[in-house]
Amino acid sequence: MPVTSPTAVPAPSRRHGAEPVFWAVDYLLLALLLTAAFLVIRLRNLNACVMALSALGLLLTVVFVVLGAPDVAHAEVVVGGVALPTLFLIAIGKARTEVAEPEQTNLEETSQSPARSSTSLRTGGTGAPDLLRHRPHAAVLSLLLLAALVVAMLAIPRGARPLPGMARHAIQVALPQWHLTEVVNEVVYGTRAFDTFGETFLLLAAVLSVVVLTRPREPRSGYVGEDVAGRQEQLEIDPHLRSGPDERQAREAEREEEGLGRGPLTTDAQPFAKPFPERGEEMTVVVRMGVRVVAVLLTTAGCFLVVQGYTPGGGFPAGAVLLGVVLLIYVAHGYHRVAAVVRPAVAETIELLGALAIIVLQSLGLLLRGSFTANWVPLAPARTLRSGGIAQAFSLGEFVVVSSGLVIVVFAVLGATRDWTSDDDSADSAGQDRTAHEGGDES
Amino acid sequence: MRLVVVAALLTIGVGFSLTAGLGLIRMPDVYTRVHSSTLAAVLGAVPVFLALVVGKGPISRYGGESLLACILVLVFAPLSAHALLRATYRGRVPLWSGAKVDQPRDRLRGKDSGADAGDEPDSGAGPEPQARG
Repeated sequence: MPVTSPTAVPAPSRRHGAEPVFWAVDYLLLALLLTAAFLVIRLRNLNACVMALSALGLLLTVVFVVLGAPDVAHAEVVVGGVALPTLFLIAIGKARTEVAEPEQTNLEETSQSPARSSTSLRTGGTGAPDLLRHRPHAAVLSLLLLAALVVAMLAIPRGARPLPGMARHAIQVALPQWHLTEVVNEVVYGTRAFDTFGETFLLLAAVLSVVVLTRPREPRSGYVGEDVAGRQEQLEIDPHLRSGPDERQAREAEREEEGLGRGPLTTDAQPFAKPFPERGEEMTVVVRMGVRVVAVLLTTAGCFLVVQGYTPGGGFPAGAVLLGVVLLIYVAHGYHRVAAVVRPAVAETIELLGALAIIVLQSLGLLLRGSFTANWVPLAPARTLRSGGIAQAFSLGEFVVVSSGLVIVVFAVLGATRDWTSDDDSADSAGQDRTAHEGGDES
Repeated sequence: MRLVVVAALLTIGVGFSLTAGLGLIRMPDVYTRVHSSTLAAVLGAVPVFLALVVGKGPISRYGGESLLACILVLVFAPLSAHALLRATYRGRVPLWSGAKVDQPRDRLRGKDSGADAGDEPDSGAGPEPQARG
């Protein structure tokens, strides 16, 4: 169905020869994507599932590059390839340690816990025949989704087909009105700046919900380790209170049962492999040195993405890249190396300052130019650092919000623990809460 | 002339990627398979980047970026393979039954219950950590 239009850009003749090849690459990538997605669902081993999810993110990145959206690819490679699998691995690790702890005390041969986890997983999976038999509506929905995706894939403008009106408008407007040579940046931070504004605060809301969900019982200065370090003191009985030997012995036995006093001080000290326990921070000198080199390069590349208004990119991908750098340093050098910056007080302040800067920036457009997100900064010549006017500043604010927000999310989930002080205490407080709620309902 | 160099570099890169893919399928255990995948990353990707550098010139936009990517791949691929295999070995993933040499086993033997002992010379205080076992 060759759609020709007078506005279509005539492609060079060499392009026609190359186009079927790219067309084939598209469908090869789609097939790989489907394979990876299938693996994510069907694999038994949870860690392998996460690795397949990471592969899915990387393949999506390649798809974005092939479709000509390198800025989305920048964000996707870090978010889909690194951050999301990291969050899943953290969650799986947390759930697994919670389950495995009582078994370790009882069984000397630890080969039972993997077997049990695999059997518990086996009950969760449903085969494709089961899906067709028991959930026909799900099968119908899947087929409809597949059909929609195929139609969307066929409708993607490529080669000689006409561009949609939005893209043509952006191309016409980018250079004269914004002095931006990168059209995508013009769309994201110029023409559709209000959408990006909404997205930024959607992200902020998500970060806020993660912080609220994982918030510890008491305010803490760091994300990781303090609850474990203080747990023993929390559970101590009053040392000035004299107690008989029977009571002391009972409390010792109780503590032994709960597996306390033997836990690692921080997650850095948490052993990550059972047969040869070693501290998590104990990466070899090869890894530490390599990360030291690469972190500088990657940070520079991230800053390049955000300060150069004429490169595809901008705040969101650069913020995601910065999260990658922080994670690399955390993995290779341990939490104490990033703890100076990765603290709730610092990270949340930076996040809110970035959000405030964006609000002020866009509201000034309303005051000075009469419309929200309007450009009020004098435009510098194109292909310079300040060429985009307000778009560049918005991109910078987005960088601050996204980088600090993603760091907060990852480390808040990493530090999330079950940290009520003791069973009696929590039962008491829950009972008090319930009575308080009931009292409030009645009044 | 430049075209010939580019074609040669591309051929080298694709050839190594192909052998690495074959190795990934045919190799018997995880250690040798990771060896194959690192081969794909280093000897498969770096010649392709270098072909781009030669074709576009090292100072150009594409050439410069591919040089940067070259450095990142050269640092990251061996590094990640190293960290991955170290964790794999410490997690006691078995070697292939036909493996003849197992150098780290002798160094780790006798102290597999010590939580603080590292087997690498850089992580401990002394150059011979076996003495602490």
